[in-house]
Amino acid sequence: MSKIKQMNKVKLLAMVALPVIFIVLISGVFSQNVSPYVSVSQVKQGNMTQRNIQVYGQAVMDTINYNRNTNILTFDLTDGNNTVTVQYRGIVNNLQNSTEVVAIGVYKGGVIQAEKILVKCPSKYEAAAKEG
Amino acid sequence: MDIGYSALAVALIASAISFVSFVLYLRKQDESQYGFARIALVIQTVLLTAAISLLLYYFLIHDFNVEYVALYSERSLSLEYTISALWGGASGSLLLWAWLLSLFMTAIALRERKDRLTGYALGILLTINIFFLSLLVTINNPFTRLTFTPFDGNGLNPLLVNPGMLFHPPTLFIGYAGFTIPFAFALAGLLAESELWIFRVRKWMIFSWLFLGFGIFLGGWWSYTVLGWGGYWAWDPVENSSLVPWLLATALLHSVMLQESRRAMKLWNVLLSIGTFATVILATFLTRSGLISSVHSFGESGIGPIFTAYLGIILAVSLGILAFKFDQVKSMNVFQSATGREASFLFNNLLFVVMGLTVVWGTLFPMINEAVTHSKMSVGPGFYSAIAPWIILSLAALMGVCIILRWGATSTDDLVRKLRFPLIAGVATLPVMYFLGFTNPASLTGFVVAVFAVALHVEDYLVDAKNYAGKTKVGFFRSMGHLILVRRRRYGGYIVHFSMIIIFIGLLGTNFYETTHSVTLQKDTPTTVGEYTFTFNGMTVTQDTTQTEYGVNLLVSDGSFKDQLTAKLTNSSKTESMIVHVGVLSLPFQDVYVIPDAVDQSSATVTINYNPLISFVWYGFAITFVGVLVCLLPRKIGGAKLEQG
Repeated sequence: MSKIKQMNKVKLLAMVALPVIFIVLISGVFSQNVSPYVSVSQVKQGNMTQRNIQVYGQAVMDTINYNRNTNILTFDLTDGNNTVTVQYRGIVNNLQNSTEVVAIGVYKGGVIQAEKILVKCPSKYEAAAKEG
Repeated sequence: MDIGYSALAVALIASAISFVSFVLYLRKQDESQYGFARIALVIQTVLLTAAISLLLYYFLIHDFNVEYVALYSERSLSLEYTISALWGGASGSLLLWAWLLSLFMTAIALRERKDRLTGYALGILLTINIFFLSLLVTINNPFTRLTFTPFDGNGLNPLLVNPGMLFHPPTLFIGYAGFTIPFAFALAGLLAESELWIFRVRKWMIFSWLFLGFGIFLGGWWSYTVLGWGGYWAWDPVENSSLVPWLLATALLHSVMLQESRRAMKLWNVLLSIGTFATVILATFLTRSGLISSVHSFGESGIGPIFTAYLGIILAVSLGILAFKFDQVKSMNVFQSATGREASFLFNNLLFVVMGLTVVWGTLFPMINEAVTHSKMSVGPGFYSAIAPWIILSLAALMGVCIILRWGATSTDDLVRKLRFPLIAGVATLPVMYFLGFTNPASLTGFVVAVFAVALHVEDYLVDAKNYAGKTKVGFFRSMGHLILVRRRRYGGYIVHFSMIIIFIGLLGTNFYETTHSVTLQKDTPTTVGEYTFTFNGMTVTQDTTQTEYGVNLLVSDGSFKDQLTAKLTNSSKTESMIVHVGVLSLPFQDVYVIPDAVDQSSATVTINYNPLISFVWYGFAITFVGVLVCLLPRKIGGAKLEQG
C-alpha cells in the first residue's frame, strides 16, 4: 500500500512539476523570440532596435536592384505612406511577382538589413480572382 | 449548373442518408439499416470519385470556363503539374480531403466488423464528411463556371511548379484524413461503451501516421530544393501546423499500447485522439485562411470563421460526450516504478505533448495577441530551436532505454548488465567524432546519445536472436529474420525507433556543421571552396514560350572524384519573375548545395553550402518505411507458422 502511495507521488510530481518547470523555461525563451510585426510607417516612426523585426509592405518594382559584384539586393518597401530601403544578400524568388513582402532583420541607419525575406506571391492568384 | 456540382450535391444527400441510417441502426438495432447505410456510403464515395475525376478532366482538357481550372492552370503547364493544380487552391484541396475521407470510410465499412462500434464511428466520420461536402456545394464550389471563357488560364505559381507539389499535398492529406479515424473510433468507443476501439484503429493509425510523417518530410525536401523557404524546416506557421498533429499522433500511437496491454491511459487516449483531429482541422484551415502570415499561406479564402466555428463545435461535442460517458475512461493506475516500461510511455507522451503544445502556442500566439492587444507580433524560429533540441535529445535517449525496460519495474542488476556495453559504445564515440572534425560540444552530446541508443538496439536484437536460436535450433542469422516476423509489432516499432535515431544524426550534422561560402567563379578557372574544387563550365540558355532558363554548369571535384552539378535560374516570361533552382550534389556523407545568385557567359556568382550528414535524414526515412511495413504485415504472412514452429 505504501508503495503505491509513494508511486502516486512520483506520478503527481511528473504531472505537476515537469510542466511547471517547462512553462517557466519556455516563457523565458519565448519572450526573447517575440518580435514586432510592423508596417513600414511604424518602423519609420517607432524606435525599432530589436533584432528580427518583421516589416511588411509592398516592393516597389522599379527600385529592385541587384548588384552582382557584392551580391547585394536592394529594393524599396512601401505601405503607401512611407518607404524604406531593404538590403539583402542574395536574390529572392518571385520578388518581381509579389503582392506582399515581409522583410525580417534589423532596422539600422534608415535601412532594413534583412536576414530573410518572405514573399507572398501565390496569393496573387487568388487575390486576382476575387477582384475579377 | 455543372454536372460535377450535381455530383457533389447528390453525394451530400447520400452522405446525409447514410448518416441517418446509421443513427436508425444504432437506435433501433435494425441490421437492415446498417446495410442500407453502407450502400449510401459507397454511393457517395462513387459520386465523389466521379466529381474529382471530372475536375481532373477539366484540367486536362483546359476547360478555362471552369473558374478553378482557369485560376490554377494554363495551356503551357506540363501534364504532371496540370494534375497537381487540382490541389493548387482551397476548393480543390477540400475536394481532395473529402474524397480521401470517403475512401477511408468505405474501407472501414467494408473491412471492419459490422457492429455498434463501427456504426458509431462511421456515423461520426459522416458528420465530418458532411461538413466538407457542405463547404464544397456552397462557398468552395470547385465547379463554378465563369460567364466567359478565357483563352488561357492564370497558371500555377512558379514556386509550386516543383515535384514536391505532386506528392507533398496529397500525402499530407491522406495523413490528415486518416486521423479522423482514431477520433471517430474513440468517441464511438465511449458511445458504444466498448474498449475494442483501441484494437480496431491500430492499423489505420499506423498507416495514417506514416503518410502524415512522409507528407511533412516531402514538404521539408521541397523546401530544401526551393530557395527562400529556409532550408528543410523553418518553423513557419504552416509547417508547424502540420507538425502538431504528427506529434500528438505519435504520442497517441504509444499511449494506446498502454491501454491495449495494461488497460491504462483511457482518458488520455480519448483526449489525444480528439487533440490530433482538432489540430488536423486547425492545420487545414490555417494553411488556407490567411490568418497567419506565412510563406505558405495561399491567400484568404473566407473559410477562416467557418473552420473556427467548426473547431469549436468539434471540441464542444467531443468533450461533451466524454463528460457524459466519463465512467468509461476510469483507468487502473499501472505506474509502479520509474524504471518500468509504463514510465517510459509516460515520458514519451509528456515529451511529445509538451512539444506539441509549444508549437501550438508559438503558432497561435500572434493570432491571439492580435485579437487581444491589436498589435502584431511574430514568434521567431529561435523559440522553437531553443526547445526542440532538448525534446529530441530526450526522445533519442528514451528510444534507446525503452528497449530494456520491463513491464512493472526493471531490476537494477538487469539495468546495469544491459546498459554497460551501450554506455561504453556511446562514450567511445566522443573521441572518434572529435577527431573526425565534429567538435561542437552540443552536437557531440547528441552523437553520444545516438550511438548509445543504436547500441541498445543492436544489443537487444543480437541477444534476442541468440536466445531464439537456442530455443528453436534455427541458425543464428535465420533467427534474426524469424524474430522480426514473429515479434513484428515489437521489431517494427524498434526499426522505426532506429530510423528516427538515424534521422537525428542527420539533424545533428546539418544543424551544427552546415557551412556557407559565397563566391564568384570565373569560366574554366578551378576555384577551391572549402573541401571541393569548383569549375564553372559556362552558362546554357534554353528558351521556350513560357520561360528562359539559365543553367549554371559546374564541375565539382576533389582528389578522388568528379561530378557535374547544374543549378538554374529561370525567368518566367509572363510574370518577369526570377526563380532560383538550387543544384544539389548528394554525396554519401554530405550534400553540396549550390544557390545560383547571378550568372553570365564568363562568370557565375554562387553561394555554396555544405550540409554534412543530411543523407542520414533520407536513409532514416527509408528505414521508417520498412519499420512501418513490418508493423502492418498481416498476421497471415509468415508469423503464425513460425510461432508454432
